[in-house]
Amino acid sequence: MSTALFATVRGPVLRHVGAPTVVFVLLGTGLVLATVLSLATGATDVGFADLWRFLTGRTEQMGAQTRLVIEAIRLPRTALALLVGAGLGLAGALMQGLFRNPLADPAVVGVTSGAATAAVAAIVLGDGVLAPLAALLGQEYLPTLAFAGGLLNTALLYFFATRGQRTSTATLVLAGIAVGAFAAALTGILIFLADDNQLRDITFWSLGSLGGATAARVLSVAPFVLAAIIACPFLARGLDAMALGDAVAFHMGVDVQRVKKVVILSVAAAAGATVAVTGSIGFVGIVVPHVLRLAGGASHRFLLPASALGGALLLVTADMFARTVVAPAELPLGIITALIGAPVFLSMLLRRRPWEIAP
Amino acid sequence: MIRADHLSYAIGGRSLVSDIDLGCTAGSVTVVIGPNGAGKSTLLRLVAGELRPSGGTVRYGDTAIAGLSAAELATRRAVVPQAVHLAFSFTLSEVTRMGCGHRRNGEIAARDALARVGLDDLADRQFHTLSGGEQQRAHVARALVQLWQAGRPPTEQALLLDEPTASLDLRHQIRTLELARAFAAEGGTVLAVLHDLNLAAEFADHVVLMLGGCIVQQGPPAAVIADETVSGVYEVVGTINRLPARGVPYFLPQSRSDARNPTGSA
Repeated sequence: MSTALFATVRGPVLRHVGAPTVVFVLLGTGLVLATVLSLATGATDVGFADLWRFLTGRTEQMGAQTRLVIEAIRLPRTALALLVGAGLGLAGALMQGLFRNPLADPAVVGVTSGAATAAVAAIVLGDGVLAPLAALLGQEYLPTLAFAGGLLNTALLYFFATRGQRTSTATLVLAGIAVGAFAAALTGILIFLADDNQLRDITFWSLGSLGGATAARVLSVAPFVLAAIIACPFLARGLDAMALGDAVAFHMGVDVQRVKKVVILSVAAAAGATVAVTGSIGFVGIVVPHVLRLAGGASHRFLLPASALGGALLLVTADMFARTVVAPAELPLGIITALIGAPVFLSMLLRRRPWEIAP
Repeated sequence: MIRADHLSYAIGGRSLVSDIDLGCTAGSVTVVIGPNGAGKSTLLRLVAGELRPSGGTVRYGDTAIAGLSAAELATRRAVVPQAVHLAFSFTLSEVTRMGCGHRRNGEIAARDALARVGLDDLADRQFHTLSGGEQQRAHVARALVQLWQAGRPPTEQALLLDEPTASLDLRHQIRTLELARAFAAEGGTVLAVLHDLNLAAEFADHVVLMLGGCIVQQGPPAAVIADETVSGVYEVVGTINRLPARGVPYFLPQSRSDARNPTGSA
């Protein structure tokens, strides 16, 4: 019944406004709803009346406790979920465009492991060798190092997995495993060197949750994610053209090497910096662009912004589940995204069509 | 319009193209023929600016292409390569429009170009569901859109085709080359690699015969496509005849007598 209704509405609507517009409207609406719900739900109930007062700036009419809950806990947490989700969704779409492969994802191919190693190094060496850097960068210290680690891993991966313009899935995943294992070994050495305080910091950080969200953390990641989002309009045409191969993209006037460099920088910024504050959250970068390609087409002018919105929507929603399903305890967010993402990834492998995945 | 001087290309110690001088005048169709591995595609890629020559220069008009950016080059020439692998499921119309980025009138140009290659009724189809021949024609349309939207007169532009007829049926082979001829009639320069000597003879103003990275002979079709050159270069048996009315040469292949009758009993 509802599908029949949907089909009758869908035809004329799509003809007039196009599928991408419909997807953007749905994503936007979903995002607003999810954000409001995320601010309202949690261990303490916040009524929608109070929430409305807060959003319209009439904070003096609210209870002090409710106001504190929203300001100090819900708002930073929701904002961080939005930013991290946008970053991960975008990083996935960018990486898939770069590798011409819908299975490329920062977490699956080991980019996040590089960022994680760098983040652990930042914690362990922050009092020693890296102390001057820590003092210089302030609150940007951890995200900047994670960004650098992610950048290094992405560049290594690209170097190893790409031969003659084509990136094979097998090589990509295998290189990702090797690079990830090396990064994990480095992390192991760093943990071995760490003292008790640092170990506690590392453990807390590696749990991969948005639980420790503070305004400072939000502000420390925001520039990286925003930088990647700002780069998108300049990358869309190039990535579309590169779907036909580097040579054809060059024929059509695309500076392929420059596009690739900016994409690698953006992936490292969007995925690396978010790892620095939340630990590894997998599969967002695969699931979101995959679903959106089916809904609105493969053009990156649509896909890049839609993946940022979709990632934000998925993560805010997943985080809401994470902190309500077993309340007052919390599930790590990475578990929920893996529960959704791993089956989607496997179904993509099963249903793959020859043109989607290079051998 | 296109001028190559002492053009050479070597990779891994192997010379693929050596010391080639080539001139393509605006308003003409130049066809490169020759056996596999003769360096035809390499020559085309050098002229396209895709490969950096180990020696010599390529000029479009008065401009050496070595100093041009990818974007500047793209306003001067479009390329239809031999094999293209598309990742992700774009529609035919999207692929055609990639030729001009996201310019506003790109859609109209794309529809026009698709109509010229006879694919206008398939515009919304997924590119991967098209046959090999349809995909090849789509790439010709994409190249046309790129040239139309580049903001230069055809007299300053070149269309470079690498075996554009390879997977086309007879009708579309002729139709594609007629499109190339039409572009030349507007003043454009066409450089095409072809395997079919008969198509080369019919559509070329100038034929370049290559072997082992060098130009063996070049000139009007009637001079190049002749018995001695063809049998010498391709090492095949066959007859070159001429159409009575126009003198255009055509090639009729023959299998060697020992291949027909391996026992030799005849």
